[in-house]
Amino acid sequence: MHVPGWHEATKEWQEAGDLQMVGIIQEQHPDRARLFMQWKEMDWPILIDSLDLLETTVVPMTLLIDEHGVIRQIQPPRDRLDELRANFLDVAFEAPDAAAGSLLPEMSDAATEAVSLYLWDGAVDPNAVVGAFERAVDADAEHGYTLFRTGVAYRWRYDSEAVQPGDFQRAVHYWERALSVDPNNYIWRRRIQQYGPRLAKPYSFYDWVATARREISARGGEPSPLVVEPGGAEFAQPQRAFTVDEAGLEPPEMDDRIYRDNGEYVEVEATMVPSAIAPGASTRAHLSFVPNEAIKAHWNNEVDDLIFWVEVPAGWQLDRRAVTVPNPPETVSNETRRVELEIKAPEDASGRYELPGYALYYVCEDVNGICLYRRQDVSLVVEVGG
Amino acid sequence: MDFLERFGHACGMFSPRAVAVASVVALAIPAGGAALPASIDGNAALLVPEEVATSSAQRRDSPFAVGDLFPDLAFPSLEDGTPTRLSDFRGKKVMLHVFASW
Repeated sequence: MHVPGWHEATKEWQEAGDLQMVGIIQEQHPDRARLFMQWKEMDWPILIDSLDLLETTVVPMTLLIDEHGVIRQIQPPRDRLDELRANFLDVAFEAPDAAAGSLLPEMSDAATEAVSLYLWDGAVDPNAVVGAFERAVDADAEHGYTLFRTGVAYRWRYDSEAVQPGDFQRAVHYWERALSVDPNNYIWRRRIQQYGPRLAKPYSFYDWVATARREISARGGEPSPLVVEPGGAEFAQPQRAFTVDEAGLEPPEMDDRIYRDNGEYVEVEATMVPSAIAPGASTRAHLSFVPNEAIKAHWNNEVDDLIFWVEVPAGWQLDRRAVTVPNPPETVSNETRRVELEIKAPEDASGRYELPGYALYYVCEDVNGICLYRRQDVSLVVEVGG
Repeated sequence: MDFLERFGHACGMFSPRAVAVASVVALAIPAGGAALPASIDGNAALLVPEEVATSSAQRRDSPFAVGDLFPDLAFPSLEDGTPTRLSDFRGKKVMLHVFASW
């Protein structure tokens, strides 16, 4: 691996005080880098640049920066450490003259305010941050970095207690808009791929997390906790061909007699990543099921698992016919339940498709003490463009 | 020559974008050490010496170039969120990795 390899190769220089390692990470969830650093036993400073203020378009990137802050080498070769020692560590560089340049992020006043709120005002209401980014988009709707950063803010609110319906889909929407401004920005592209279908993945993003936890625990450590656990899309491995789990089930409920939940008991949200696909391409649906706190709704875990079923037109494919969320061991619980599945459109698809689906679950509420098996209809909307 | 003039000259014209950018940078370079506006108070991210500022309107394909000063932006530290910049490591030889854990 790129960074751990450099850490190992330069350990002696670091310990001797000859070289300071510093990292800047680009992730939506920076605490995952904390677990990564712990796993690889790297204890140097890490700075968080989830908004990509540096305006890097690819990672990883390694730079040698002298004692005056001047960039002396970009992507030094790791197999030429002697040169690095002789041409960088052992050289006393002169201070730069006033003509030395440095690039600034290009931002409107509105974008500056939004970025400042996000970065530095930890007590601020996430709604205020999102609102500030929306104003920044209003000020310049074609500014790729503002669009990307607005997506980061929406996903951040989605992961917070201030989550609003549609936050995740809006995040995807803004990342897609940013990418339409500059298709060559791989930081933006990766943010979508992180949550997107396996056909579009360059690699698994967070499959290392389980190994890291296991190895940290094995050496007697306590793995650094994650604020947001990576979801299925983030663990998923890339694939070259769409695969279908043929272990199909019959639709779980054919008659119409099960009590309905129209969102009173469980709030359901579906997010499609990407939001629009080309004919023949696939998209990944992310569904979340949140028991309604206002009526103290909760899952009854002594009965059937939650199951989600979706119908697709002829020619469409699903990676799984029915997706279940196994009940946890406790008798009752009120956690958010998540379902992910992938849908592939046929080559001749075009337009907007509403794929009818429904979830079945056993939910209770404490206001009237009602516990029932219920069905909620959930359509998945797929836009297929030319 | 103030920054707006300099920026306008560099760009050849004052587009709305150029004015907006210039105003941001002007905010970031308080004349005579004046306090920053409240809206960016505490945001050291945009503070750079005027002499070394170049707008990203003139950006190259890569944000980094040998011979450039590394952008003096402040980022929250992963350790405790405190604003930290590369210039905090001045006097040391730094190997900087811009990366993601994936």
